[in-house]
Amino acid sequence: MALSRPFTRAEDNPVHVLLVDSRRLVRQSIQRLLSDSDYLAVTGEAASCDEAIRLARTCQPHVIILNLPGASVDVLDGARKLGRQFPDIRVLVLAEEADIIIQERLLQAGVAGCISSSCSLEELISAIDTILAGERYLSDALAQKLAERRLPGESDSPFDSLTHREMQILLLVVEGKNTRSIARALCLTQKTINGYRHRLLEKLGVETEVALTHLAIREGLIRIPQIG
Amino acid sequence: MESEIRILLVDHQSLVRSGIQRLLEDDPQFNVVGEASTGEEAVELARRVKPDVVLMDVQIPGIGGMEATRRIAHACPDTGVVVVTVDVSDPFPAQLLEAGASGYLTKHCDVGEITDAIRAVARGERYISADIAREMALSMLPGKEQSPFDRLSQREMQVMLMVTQGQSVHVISDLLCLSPKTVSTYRYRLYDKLGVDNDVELTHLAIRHGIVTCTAPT
Repeated sequence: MALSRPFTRAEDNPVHVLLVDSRRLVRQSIQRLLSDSDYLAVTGEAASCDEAIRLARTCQPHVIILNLPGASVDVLDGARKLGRQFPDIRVLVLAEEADIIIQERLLQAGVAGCISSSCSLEELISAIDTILAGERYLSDALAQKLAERRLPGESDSPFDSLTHREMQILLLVVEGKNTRSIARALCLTQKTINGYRHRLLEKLGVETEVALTHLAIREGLIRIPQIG
Repeated sequence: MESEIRILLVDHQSLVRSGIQRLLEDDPQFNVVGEASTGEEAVELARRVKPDVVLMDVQIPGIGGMEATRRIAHACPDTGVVVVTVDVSDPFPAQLLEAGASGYLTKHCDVGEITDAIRAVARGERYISADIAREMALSMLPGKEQSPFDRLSQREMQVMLMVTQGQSVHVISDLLCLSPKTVSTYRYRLYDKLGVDNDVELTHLAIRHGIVTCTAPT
């Protein structure tokens, strides 16, 4: 799917970037790195997607870089909202290479590109070039993994059949959120959330939400790093 | 001029490493002498370049930041390790300091705090950011506890293992010959002792502590 309206950059006019990252030190570092380049200029910084939505109206960036670690509802919903409210702004997501399921969902949700979070500055610039030209950018590793999943004989991920709403609730459940906070986060009633929780177990063929969490880890949807 | 401080940067994100390097080197006192993106690389480089200070992100691939800190503290006693983490409580600060870290900050700090920490650790002092110090003071418990799971009785441990492996209360009650009500009583007592609110949170804690394993495909 091609994106609308390729962007042409005026000479001597850098690409305006809005940087989204919850960690101040990371924002400062990336901003400092980009400040050496004539090509990119960070014109806004946000700690969350909601803040980015507020800022994007005033700072009108060409590109929004999302660097929010892990597979979470914040990333999935944030990218969707940004895409809907600012169809002309390209969203580039820095993601862990292993987080295939969430990257596929992000691309379906309309983000312009997904790039490995361990990319170099050169790769970042080349990705930004690509998306500003109106094309999608996928890192090589992601493109290969997505292609492999489409080959016959490859089993689908059990999460493929989930709707966006079910995916939102799944991500919150396996994070350990209770019904009340999920209901509040998604503006739904607790009764509705409980219905979804029940249906998720049924649809994915597991008995308990702990088993659901194990499934999410085994399928590479979420990661829980071990300490020590 | 103050004497130069030689620094090894360890972070999974190349963009962040390059950015921090520029931020630090805007001050001529700081000289970044190496960069690593995994725990193994960090240990190897620290041995080779003998930096004054290692700035270590905890969440790095491979052996991880905690184990890398332990190995560097052991192999390079003159090198100070400043650990940078995302969450105040994860991993537990006491465990990291025990592993040999001299400084401890979160990624929510700003670069001024990083340079303060690096200078302090280079002088041989300790540096712990205010938010982490507060968390540590709150979590101080009597005795020398290695893991919060040490608080559990044997029966609670049994129930915890079954719950975190995904078994339902009914299955657990059958296996342990206890009523479902008794199993639930144990569960709630577990939650209380470990400071979690539900089975999934309990599972996260058990996986982080290596008590239950669940691995992703490679």
